[in-house]
Amino acid sequence: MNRVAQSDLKGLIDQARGGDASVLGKLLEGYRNYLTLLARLSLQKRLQGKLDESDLVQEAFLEAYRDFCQFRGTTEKELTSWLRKILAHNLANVVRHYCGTRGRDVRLERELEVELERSSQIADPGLVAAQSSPSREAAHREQMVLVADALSHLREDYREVLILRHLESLSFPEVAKRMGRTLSSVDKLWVRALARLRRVLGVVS
Amino acid sequence: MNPTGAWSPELEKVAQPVATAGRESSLPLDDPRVIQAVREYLAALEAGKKPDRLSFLARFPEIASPLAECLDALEFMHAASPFPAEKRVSRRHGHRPRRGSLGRLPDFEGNRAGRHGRGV
Repeated sequence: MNRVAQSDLKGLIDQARGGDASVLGKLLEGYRNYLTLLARLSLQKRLQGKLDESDLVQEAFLEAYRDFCQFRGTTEKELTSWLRKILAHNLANVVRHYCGTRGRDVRLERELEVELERSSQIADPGLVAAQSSPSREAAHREQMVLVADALSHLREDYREVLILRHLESLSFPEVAKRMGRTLSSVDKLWVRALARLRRVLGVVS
Repeated sequence: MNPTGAWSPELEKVAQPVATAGRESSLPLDDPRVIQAVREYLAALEAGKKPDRLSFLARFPEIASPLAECLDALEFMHAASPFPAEKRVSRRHGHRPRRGSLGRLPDFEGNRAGRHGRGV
């Protein structure tokens, strides 16, 4: 797992506040997958994927690095919330640039913050808590951080089918169209991706 | 562990498909029965139900092992979905939320957390 244990997080935050640049870099890097996934979902929804999310995330990281002294939280929840605000600010600038009239709406940045926060929340925490062992583990962490890390360990077509079906909420025919595959091929890919994800969750958790 | 967080061949080896990972899972994952069962379970989740796992698996004794592994991940991904059951239903009935419409928003002007207001 590329993320620090929750129990170590406060110590790392303290060290980063104390000016340890390498610790800050390590701390932030642990949320790259998370921010990349959130940026992808937002960009896909608003700009139909016209922009590469990695550039936005890199920019957010640079700003987080620069402005870390403004962060006053101590928990993962507070840290992810802070990072989402930075990402939302940068997303708003991009959307304003691409979207003309709609983009000039002054509520956009706050709206994006809310949208990113919603993307971060688990839809059904009771389901997660009640069932499988990796899910039980996930219940104690920021769910979407764990999802993003787990998906990052999958090969691209597996990751894609799971994101399209479950996070972008496309139907199977829509997924097939987006991926340029037959419906039958998407079915098989999806099931294999789920099985692979289960194994990865065992490792990541 | 992979310090970069990226996909790697090593992780792929660890994460071999259930179908080839051990003697207890000798059926291929693309067996139509597995696909159909996972689809059925997803449909139940998306309908807002919480199927009883043991009862569900008991219906498919021949594929129970690979099916169980798929269901673990399925529940995990479903729980992360931004569109839980009730919203999916409203979308199907033509009440898809407007793009950018995310429900009531707090007073933006009074609470704006901009470049200089990011402190938690």
